[in-house]
Amino acid sequence: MELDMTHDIQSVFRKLLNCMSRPGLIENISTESQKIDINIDISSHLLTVLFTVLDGEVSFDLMALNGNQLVKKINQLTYAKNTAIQQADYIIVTKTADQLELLKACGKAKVGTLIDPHKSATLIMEVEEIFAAQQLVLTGPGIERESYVSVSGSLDWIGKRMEKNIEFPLGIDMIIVDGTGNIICLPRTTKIAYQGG
Amino acid sequence: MKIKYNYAYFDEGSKREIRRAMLKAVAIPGYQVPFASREMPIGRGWGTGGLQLTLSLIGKDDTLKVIDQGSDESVNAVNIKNLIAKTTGVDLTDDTESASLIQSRHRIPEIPLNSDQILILQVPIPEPLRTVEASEFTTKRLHAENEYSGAWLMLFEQIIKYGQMSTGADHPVVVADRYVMAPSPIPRFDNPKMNQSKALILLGAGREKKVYAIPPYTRVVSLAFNDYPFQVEGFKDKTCRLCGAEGVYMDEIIDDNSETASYQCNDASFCLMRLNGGN
Amino acid sequence: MGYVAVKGGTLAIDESIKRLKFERLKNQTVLNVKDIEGGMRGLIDTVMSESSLYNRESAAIAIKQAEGSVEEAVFLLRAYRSTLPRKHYSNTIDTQNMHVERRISSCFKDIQGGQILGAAYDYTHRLIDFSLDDEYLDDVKAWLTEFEARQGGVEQSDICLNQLPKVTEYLRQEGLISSYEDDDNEPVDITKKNLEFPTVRSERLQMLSRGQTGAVTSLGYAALRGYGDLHPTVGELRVGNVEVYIDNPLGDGNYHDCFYLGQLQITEVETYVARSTNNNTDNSQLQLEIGYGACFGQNETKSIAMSMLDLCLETDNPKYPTQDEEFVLFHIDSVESTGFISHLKLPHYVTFKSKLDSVRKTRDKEGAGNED
Repeated sequence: MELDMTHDIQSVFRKLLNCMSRPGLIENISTESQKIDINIDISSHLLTVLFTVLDGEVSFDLMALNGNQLVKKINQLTYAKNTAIQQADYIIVTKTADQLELLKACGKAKVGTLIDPHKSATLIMEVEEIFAAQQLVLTGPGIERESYVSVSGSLDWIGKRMEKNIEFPLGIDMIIVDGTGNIICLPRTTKIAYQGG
Repeated sequence: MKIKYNYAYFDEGSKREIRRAMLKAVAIPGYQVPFASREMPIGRGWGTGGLQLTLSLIGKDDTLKVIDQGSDESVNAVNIKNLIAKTTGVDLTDDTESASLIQSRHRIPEIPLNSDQILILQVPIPEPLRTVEASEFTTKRLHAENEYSGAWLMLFEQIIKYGQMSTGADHPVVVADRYVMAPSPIPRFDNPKMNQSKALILLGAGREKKVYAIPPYTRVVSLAFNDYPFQVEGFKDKTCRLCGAEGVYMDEIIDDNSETASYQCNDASFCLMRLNGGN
Repeated sequence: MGYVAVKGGTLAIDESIKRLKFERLKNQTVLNVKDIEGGMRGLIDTVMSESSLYNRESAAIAIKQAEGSVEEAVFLLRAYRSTLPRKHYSNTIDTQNMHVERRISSCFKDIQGGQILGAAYDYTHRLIDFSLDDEYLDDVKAWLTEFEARQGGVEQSDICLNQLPKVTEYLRQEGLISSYEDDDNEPVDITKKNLEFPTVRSERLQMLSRGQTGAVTSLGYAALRGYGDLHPTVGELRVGNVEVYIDNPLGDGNYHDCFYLGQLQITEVETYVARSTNNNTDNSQLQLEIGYGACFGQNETKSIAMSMLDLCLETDNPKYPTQDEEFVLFHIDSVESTGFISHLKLPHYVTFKSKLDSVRKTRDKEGAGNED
């Protein structure tokens, strides 16, 4: 594996931070993730994000086909501990997970407390495609007036997310990764409007 | 027993923990996220919070500017710059516009920042309610309950006593209509720069072990009353004795010989840029 | 010809650093690190404890670099500690197995295994020995030879020094000490996770153990003198070496599958107070409660003070500052307290100007200045 755990991870982090600061902005991490050469059943883009945020100090849960094998592998690669979904600091939903599992993940994710809103889950979701189009209209901190982005697949999660984030500062934050290394972030402060929503 | 320091001084695990805290801070504007602040080779109270943020952000492609009290050459700024340069080899600059990362103590640069830049402010006391409530246990609960009457009361008492608010620097602000936040000891003059900023602003308190953030394009309003609006420091009719600038924050220089005061741009690199013909 | 920034700051700093080096070297004394390691045990123990880094060699180098300043040496070591990767946590150390070098109890005249005085300043007369100015290696070697030969003449006891029972166990068997269920919760590591209030005991004990010796001592003293609800007795004080083991990281947690890393010298204190048990009945009982103190190296005063503060902080009593955990825990760390105080030496003219502006405004009632 040629991924530089210092410089490539720093570079990916900066892109994540930029996305979290400017919801709707699309960054791409394939320059870094293409260096990964590990035999594992998730995309190298998703794995690169995991390397950036996971380690022995945090916990995670996973929604995926063949989840058990994958959980072990992720634990071995990052030392992050697998816990029940309600306690997980990071909830990973791969594109092999079905809609129900994604909604369940959203539903059970921890939202923090009023005293400690930072003790909330970050959902890392994998989709087929993220592209710049006017499907979703985003407003809130980090966005000048409105920003637009499009995400493939069912959008049922948007409603579930809104329920979780209804009582700011409680809420969950999201990182979305697609098949070509595009990433966007949706902090809990972002409001999403869309046709049919 | 020679040791070789990791890139940007501390180990990847430490950086990762701080990075996670930064992401949460951006997601909850104005809220103080705790982090396990490491001891740095520079003293607590001397910018270790800002330093840890910078070291966790910085990479090979960055250009770094560090200022203290508006000056690139202040002892504190030079000290911090040297440590970062020694452990990363990144390019350093005094020029605000060419910096990608700007770490600052007590000032926001005069030139408006753009979206490719990140401003890191050094914070001594992150808790805006600390002067009215000594207990951390209690202030956490006040923030949780959106209970800020203590801060308002403090300002009210100032108005009763002095006829106006008398905070110096570090005048508290409300972020995204929710959290009251300590902007760090920047002069009131700089508070408005935090509102709808194009750049991300991160604030780090090393000793108190907190990081908080103002995302770009976020509403930041200084605490004030309708009939006692927020006032910045006045430099009416004052111009910089070196470059002639007006409407910027200035240092008062007491002349050695006479007893008159003259004024000079506090933002040293801004002044230099003007002297060299730029604007 | 463009204007350039005056690089005064950089030059001034360079010169200051050289000047500092001059101060350290001007007497042309080249201190041998081995001399510090060999002859400044007390200073090394203080510094290791406050920096929470157990390594005599590093401590000795830091002390040399800091010219003996404890504040500076601890700073150096803590910063060094920050750079070290954290790979493992050791297994719990049972101090019952300590290789005891000193062990006393104030609670009983005689205890099982005896009062072992060991090496301590307690029994010396504090009279400066000016002849130390004339100490020579040959005399030292001769004295050591004689001392070691002496062992043969002294009556041997069959006490096993690493199996001395704890005084606390004796009192527990008698039912005089509250018994508790074992708390096997993973201790919080305060160097990896921020302190949260209310704290758990593992957080408090770590803060106290690495606290600045003077600060911990003063607060313990205050607690004793009346600024705390405390009338303690030292149940047992031990100084000795304990063995450190880690589990095989690739193993399955089998007790026998662990690695021995080495020994640490520590000081351990168990202090007792009598407290009423919360019965709500007419006849309340007194139970003995234990305060715990432990430090790297031989740091007896600090460990005793620590054990007292441990007791103080178990119960929150707003009447006493020594029972206010934020007050105690936030102000005993050497790096934090000295750092923040010394930061006052940094330029504050922007904030001062801002304050000056406020002061002037309230004086003149100008109302000048731009509206936001």
